[in-house]
Amino acid sequence: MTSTDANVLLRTEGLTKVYAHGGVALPKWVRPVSTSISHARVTAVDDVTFEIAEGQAIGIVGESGCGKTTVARCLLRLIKPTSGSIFFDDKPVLALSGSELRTFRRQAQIVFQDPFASLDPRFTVRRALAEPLRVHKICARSEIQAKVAHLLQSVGLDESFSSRYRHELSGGEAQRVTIARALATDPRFLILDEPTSALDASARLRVISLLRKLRRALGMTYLVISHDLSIIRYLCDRVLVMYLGRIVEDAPADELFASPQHPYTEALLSATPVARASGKVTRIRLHGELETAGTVVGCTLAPRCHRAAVECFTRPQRMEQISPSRATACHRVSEGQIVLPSRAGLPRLAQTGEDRR
Amino acid sequence: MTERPDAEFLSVRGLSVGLASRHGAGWVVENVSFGVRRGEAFGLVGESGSGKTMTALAIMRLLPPVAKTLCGEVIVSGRNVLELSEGEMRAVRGGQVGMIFQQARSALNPLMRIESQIMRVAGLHRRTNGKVAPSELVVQLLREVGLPSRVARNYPHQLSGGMAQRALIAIVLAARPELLIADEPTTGLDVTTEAEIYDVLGQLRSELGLSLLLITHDLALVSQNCDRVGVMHGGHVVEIGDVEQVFERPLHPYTQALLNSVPTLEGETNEVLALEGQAPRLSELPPHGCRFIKRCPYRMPKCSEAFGPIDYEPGHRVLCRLYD
Amino acid sequence: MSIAAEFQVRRRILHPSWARGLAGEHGLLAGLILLGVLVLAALLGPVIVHDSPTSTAYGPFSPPSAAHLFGTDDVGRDVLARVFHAIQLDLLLAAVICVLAAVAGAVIGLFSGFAGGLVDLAVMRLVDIMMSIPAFILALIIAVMLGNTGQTMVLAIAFAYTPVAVRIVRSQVLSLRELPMIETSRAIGTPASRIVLWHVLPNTYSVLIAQATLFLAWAILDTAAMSFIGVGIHPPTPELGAMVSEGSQDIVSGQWWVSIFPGAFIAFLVISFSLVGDGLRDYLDPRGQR
Repeated sequence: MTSTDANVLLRTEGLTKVYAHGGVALPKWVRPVSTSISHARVTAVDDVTFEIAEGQAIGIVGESGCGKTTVARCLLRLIKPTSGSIFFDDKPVLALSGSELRTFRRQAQIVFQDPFASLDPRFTVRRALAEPLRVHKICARSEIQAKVAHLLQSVGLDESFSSRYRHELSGGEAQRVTIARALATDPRFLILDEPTSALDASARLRVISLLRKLRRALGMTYLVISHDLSIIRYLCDRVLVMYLGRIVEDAPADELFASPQHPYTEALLSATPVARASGKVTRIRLHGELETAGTVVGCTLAPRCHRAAVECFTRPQRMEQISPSRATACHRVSEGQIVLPSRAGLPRLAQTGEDRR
Repeated sequence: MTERPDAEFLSVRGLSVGLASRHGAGWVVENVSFGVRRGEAFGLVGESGSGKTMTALAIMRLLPPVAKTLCGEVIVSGRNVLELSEGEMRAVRGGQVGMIFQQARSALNPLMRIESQIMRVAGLHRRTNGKVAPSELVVQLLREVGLPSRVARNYPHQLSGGMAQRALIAIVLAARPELLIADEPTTGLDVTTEAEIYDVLGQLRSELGLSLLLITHDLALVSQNCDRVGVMHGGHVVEIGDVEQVFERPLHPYTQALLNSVPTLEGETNEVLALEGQAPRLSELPPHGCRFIKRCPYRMPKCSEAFGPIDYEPGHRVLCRLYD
Repeated sequence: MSIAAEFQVRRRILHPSWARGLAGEHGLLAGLILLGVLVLAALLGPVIVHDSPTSTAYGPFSPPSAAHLFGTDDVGRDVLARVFHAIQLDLLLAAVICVLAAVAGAVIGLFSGFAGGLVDLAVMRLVDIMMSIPAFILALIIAVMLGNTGQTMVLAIAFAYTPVAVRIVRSQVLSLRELPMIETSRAIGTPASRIVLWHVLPNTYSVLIAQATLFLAWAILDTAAMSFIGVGIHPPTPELGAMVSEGSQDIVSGQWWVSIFPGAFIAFLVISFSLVGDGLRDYLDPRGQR
């Protein structure tokens, strides 16, 4: 969808993940035998297609249940998708094996939301950082300590941290350790799954500040997943908005935040609180609760959408390109039936500084 | 004596809470003063470790055993609750001041239907006076929080996070409190669900005259949903004022740092200025003087001396020696 | 933020400074001390007390005295010497049973937990069936069926205990498997074998050890019970349960010491293992806040 001439690092087409039995994976023959198992089909990811160019930072935004975490896990082959294809450096990820799979694992890493759950309680920081080094035989045993110290330094931690255990770290420090571990293999692609949601305010700051600096320094490609739009805005060049397993908008970050082109994006932005002195925004309310996808023909947002028309319920949902760099799934917008107001004119926070004394 | 309509329903004066445990001893809340008027929403903001939750627990007299000392005054509707007996306090808790927490599903009884939980609270506080039939009361309360009446027959695990939080609010409301203390009620919830909860709280304020004490680390939430704000750091209220005042003209360096360091949806996406250091630990607190001193870019020698808050403008107070 | 978070209380996990934490564990300490005394008795007892456990030369039914601290039994054997030898035997039997059950349980539990699907389903149903029969009855039936000897008794009891270990290890594996920590290792590219070796096994040791000490306690009781009814260990081998059985009629005629002393030592052994097992389990619980 982008028209840059940078190399496409990761591409996915028609990625779909369906869980039968209400989200629990069970063998097919169990269904008729047991009456207590739910037969609900949950389409966690529905026909997702996008590409990421090398050096870009893409954000996937959406609320719980939208499928963004499932997409991340499919991209790294931690979950097997039901259908669709994924290409990393033009190689089909789902078909990799042996040394090619190992190479892929070296080049694509992930940082999870809860830093404590991602670290083994019995491992010192040094052992945790050494794991990728040993698995991929990146350096000799004798060099491990030096490499660990170097990694810690790059995330702003002192070498003395290497002998600490997970319970001796604060949330921010633990997350920085997991970032350091992800960097150990010198990856080209890093997925960050809600990297700051489990952290408190000051740790959050330090981590996103670090992530931004690292990307610039190492020229990595990021996929940032978050429900927090402010983090996405701070870290990403391009944003994908997901709702109930489908992408509903794809746009460069500054354009998306200034002028959303999908009712869901509009609602998300209006619901996100911003610290400002006055001028409270009237929130757009989406009626009802999230329903599971796969039961509705037409647009999945239609039952709750504040801009829905009758045909929204019957017309199949499809992404339409509205400019060389933007696409939206809302046909009312792409056909010009409605125009969403831009947010560029809202009052900004007063500047603070030395002159405030 | 009739109360003036804008009189403070809750008045906290010189509240101090001292902790003593294996990890150290100190004043986790020191000389905190603020007030919440009827129908007003007051936001108490601070990082973790700032003492904001302890303040709320002190008001409710629900402090944990490690809290050894409690002094000052907490005046609820004219009475100092710190002097009440436990029996009298039980009537205040719930009946006059209600409290909701994070993770509403954990606060709900998993084995009871929502309607039973509502009725139990209503019965405890004698809000069922026979005029209103029990099921009517339940439906009415659920409507007040924007939940459909079918929720009454549900169990907590059948509700989503947002619905559970609203159900919890309905249960707490069954006691008909005049002040609701909400400790991080929407942390962990999606932003649209969060918006719904605050819409409900706003409606309750306008329809029932409910006062709100919101405790959070999120400045943006406070600016959107509260009338007044108090910023806490290291157990002190370092700045207090109307939302317009504090956000337009943040006085305390900590407030300024907080505002500057939050990535936001609007404005520049410059390098955020990460606050230096971490919230001070209990054992590191100086006996007197400013507790922000280690992280403050404007620190001066006189900041270590004991000093009190300064009135900058009507309604806007700051605890900082830059302003005396 | 919870109050605990406000003061950044770290979660306690077992790590090398165990000695410091041990001081607060009164049950565990008491159990360890008692156990230590009993093991010492088992090891040194026969050396200190020279009376032979099988010689009948001491004169039947003499009450406890300076020469025979625990008296002599109906055929004239010194009860104290017999008790020491019996403790040795019982400790050995219990240890063997415990190790067999724990290892078998761990292997099956690991395999079942990781394999998942049909295999796991089948294993768990087998475990359920086995656990529906009281362990002692099950072991008794098997011991008798296989031939009524000491070895078959040990195997039978270990077999009856294995399902418990399988369940415990499997549930640990299942909960660990879903952790981001394991997912991260997969994402790093760590092969499954190393994930089990580095991450899963070390985090299962603690629950397994705690359960194993409980196995020791149960084993003492079960071997004593079986010997009491004559299965497994036969006279004249000194075994605490058998000794209780042999002396049980004598209580009526007034010779209480033949039964009571071995019975008391059964109790001491079981108490000490139980204390250690419970104490260990609490101590090793990573969520404990003390």
